[in-house]
Amino acid sequence: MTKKAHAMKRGIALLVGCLVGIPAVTQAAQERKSPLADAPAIRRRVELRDKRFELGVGVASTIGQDFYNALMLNVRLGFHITDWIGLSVSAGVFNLTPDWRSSFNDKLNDALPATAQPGDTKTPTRSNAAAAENRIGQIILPQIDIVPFTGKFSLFSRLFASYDVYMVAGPSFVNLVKRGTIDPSTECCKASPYVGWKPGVNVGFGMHAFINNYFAINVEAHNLMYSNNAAGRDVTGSSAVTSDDAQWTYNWLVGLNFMFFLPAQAKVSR
Amino acid sequence: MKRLAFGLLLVLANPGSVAAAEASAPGAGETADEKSSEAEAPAPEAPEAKKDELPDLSEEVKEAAAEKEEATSQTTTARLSWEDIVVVPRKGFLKRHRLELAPFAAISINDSMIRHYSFGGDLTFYLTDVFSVGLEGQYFIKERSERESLVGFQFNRATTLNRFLYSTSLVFGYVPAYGKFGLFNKYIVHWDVSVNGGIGVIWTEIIPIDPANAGWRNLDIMPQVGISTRMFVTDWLSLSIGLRDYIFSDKFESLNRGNEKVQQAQAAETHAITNNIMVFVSAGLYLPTSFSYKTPR
Repeated sequence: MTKKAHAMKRGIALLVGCLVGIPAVTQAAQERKSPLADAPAIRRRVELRDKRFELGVGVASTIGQDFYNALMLNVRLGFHITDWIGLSVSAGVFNLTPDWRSSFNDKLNDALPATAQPGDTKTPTRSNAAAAENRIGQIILPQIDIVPFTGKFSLFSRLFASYDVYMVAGPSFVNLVKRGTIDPSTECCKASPYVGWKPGVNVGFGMHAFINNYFAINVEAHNLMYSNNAAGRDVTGSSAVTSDDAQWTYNWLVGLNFMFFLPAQAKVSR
Repeated sequence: MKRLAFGLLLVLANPGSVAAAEASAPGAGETADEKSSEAEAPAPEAPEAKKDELPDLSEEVKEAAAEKEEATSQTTTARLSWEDIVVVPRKGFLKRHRLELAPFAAISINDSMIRHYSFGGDLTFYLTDVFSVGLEGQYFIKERSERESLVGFQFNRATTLNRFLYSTSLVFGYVPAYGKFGLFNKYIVHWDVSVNGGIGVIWTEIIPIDPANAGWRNLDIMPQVGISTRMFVTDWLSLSIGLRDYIFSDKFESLNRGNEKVQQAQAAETHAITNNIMVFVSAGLYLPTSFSYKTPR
């Protein structure tokens, strides 16, 4: 081999090395990826909801009602079609506190006269005002549950629990009831309590904290939108109380339930 | 020369294979060096080769192909290894010695007579990953509710109301819990829960029952407590939602005020404890915008 040929061979080999090496490094960087890259976020997850029933009891309370808040005995039943979607019914079956006045109503009650004032044709008495005001008797909320968030948490590194956060939506049915009777002899103005089952809309969210695979503490919040005339008095200025005086209202309800999941054994994902 | 060109063409037709393996596999440098030295080393001359002919490179090409296969298998091995998985992952977000600027919007939820919206910001410095100290400031916008407007019409009574103007507080925070959740089993999101407490001042203003009368302003000491949860979106951004309860003794216009002037009305003002519970949403921007772990993986 001549010296010239040897140098040429060496030069070609160097060129090959460079040409092969540059794209190779790039390709290597692209190919090197974590073995978890295409894996599901959670492996061998305990599917705490999939094809399981849940049932439980608890309490639910209204927040920010105009006249009467309600602390209710609550029942919740549900079936989870998959791990992330389910159907449930949450029902406040019994109002434990029918005379729980809001702070506003407390002040109003103090400001109203106990007996009718001669010549006063505008101010109701305390008892007549209370008799015209409605309060919540029962609530039934059929709803769809969507569970996008699931995970585990630790509290002070002591308590570890699985949890989920879900959203609910569906119709609402609220039974508004009265308490007491208006005394027509002392009533100053037209008043009539707005009562009966009122359909509306329910949206909300909730959370399960699983103590084990079949028992969970459930917190749920609902915004119930329905038509109401809570005072049972004229709103439109027509000097009469009609259905026109009812207005759409927002009503917050929060609940705490203790839920059991059946079957007690939960599946484990791959 | 033709053979050399053919060999070069073959190698170029399979780009990257050798170095790809070596870049990802242990001992990568050695293989590359070997290849390089092989390529650079003069090939043994064939006895029958004439001095003017170029050497036969077919053996080198075969060797390169064999090395390529070997390297490919090494690549596969490296990709399937579990080296990127650790038993205890590190926290997804570190806050220690970082400054958080969090603009927020809020709405009051516990007064059926008057609602307040507020806009403001928190400036928080994290002393550790769980303890923080910060300043909060906000401006309120009032909205009188329909219920309030009906009280006079339905019950022949007036309400005494104050509007909130603005407030500022010194706030201390603590993070008792943190965790992560799976979003549709596809994404992992890190979050924490923080509780806070502080003290500040709030400016409020009397809304006169009779619009013809003048109101006045109050300055009240305002303790506060709160709880919030925060989701970490990037190394420098988080989203929060929370509740804060501002508790203060406010001064109200007397229900018996006639058309007295402000000084006389102030002498007859009444005091009441006010709980102003507000729901907050905020976005936290962190400085520095990145963090580094001090401990090994």
